[in-house]
Amino acid sequence: MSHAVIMRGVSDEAKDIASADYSSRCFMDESSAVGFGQILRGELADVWGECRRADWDGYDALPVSWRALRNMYVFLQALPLGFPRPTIGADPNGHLSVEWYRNPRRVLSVAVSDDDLLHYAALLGPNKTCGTETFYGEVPESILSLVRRVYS
Amino acid sequence: MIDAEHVPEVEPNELLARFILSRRHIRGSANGIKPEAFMPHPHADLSVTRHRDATEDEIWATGSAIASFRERTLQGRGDVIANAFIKQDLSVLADPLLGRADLPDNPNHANVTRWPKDDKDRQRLLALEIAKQARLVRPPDQ
Repeated sequence: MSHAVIMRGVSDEAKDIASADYSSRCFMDESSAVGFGQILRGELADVWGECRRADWDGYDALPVSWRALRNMYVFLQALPLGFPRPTIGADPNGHLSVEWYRNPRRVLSVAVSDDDLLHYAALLGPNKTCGTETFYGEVPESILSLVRRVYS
Repeated sequence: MIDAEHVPEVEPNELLARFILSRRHIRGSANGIKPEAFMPHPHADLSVTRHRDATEDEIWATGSAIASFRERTLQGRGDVIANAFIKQDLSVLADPLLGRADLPDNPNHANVTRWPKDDKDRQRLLALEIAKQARLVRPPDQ
């Protein structure tokens, strides 16, 4: 189950739980044992620094937008604790992307767009798949399942 | 390099080079090429250079000219056989570049065409399949 970054409950109890959960998450995320938040935030800042200008790839790539950056930040925050750490990249169409790579035949690539969509493709040994999911602030189970399959 | 007056069609067993001008397209620890390096967007076609009739020095000189023209650092090249594209229902067409103001001369230039235009997921999957078969070659001075 993915960690929900966007709180949906409206009661006081829901707010208290969300607040405690967020504090706990922040603490755990900075732990080198289970979290990789600081590393990924640094990597995200590097990619943003390089790819926010047009033609960052030398082949007329579109610049990565603020909204794509925001969505990727939320996506990374929503990854379950203890999950395999992805690497961050950018697409020539201005999306940010994450990749879980085990070897050339077991790899998942997910683009986080500025229009709240997740475009993914995966090679899983002899099988392959691709698709689109809407991003509501939680990492969809279909994508979490693909990550597990990359490393299974 | 290929004689610009007699440019042969691209054969399936030909080796092609995709010059890499962003370090974001190279995996750190695994030392491979990321699929994004093979996505043509915003262009309809992917630009590659044929190894045919070219020495290693000429291939690197072509990459350096492109990098210099685009004011980028040449990070490396992805070598991949033409058949890797053809097996994905893409086409590789010879497209020699000569005398154009916006691009350096390259008689070995070719375009990978027939990308699914509006299907980002399928494009990503094709790029993964091609990256799987590509070999990263670093410039001799790195």
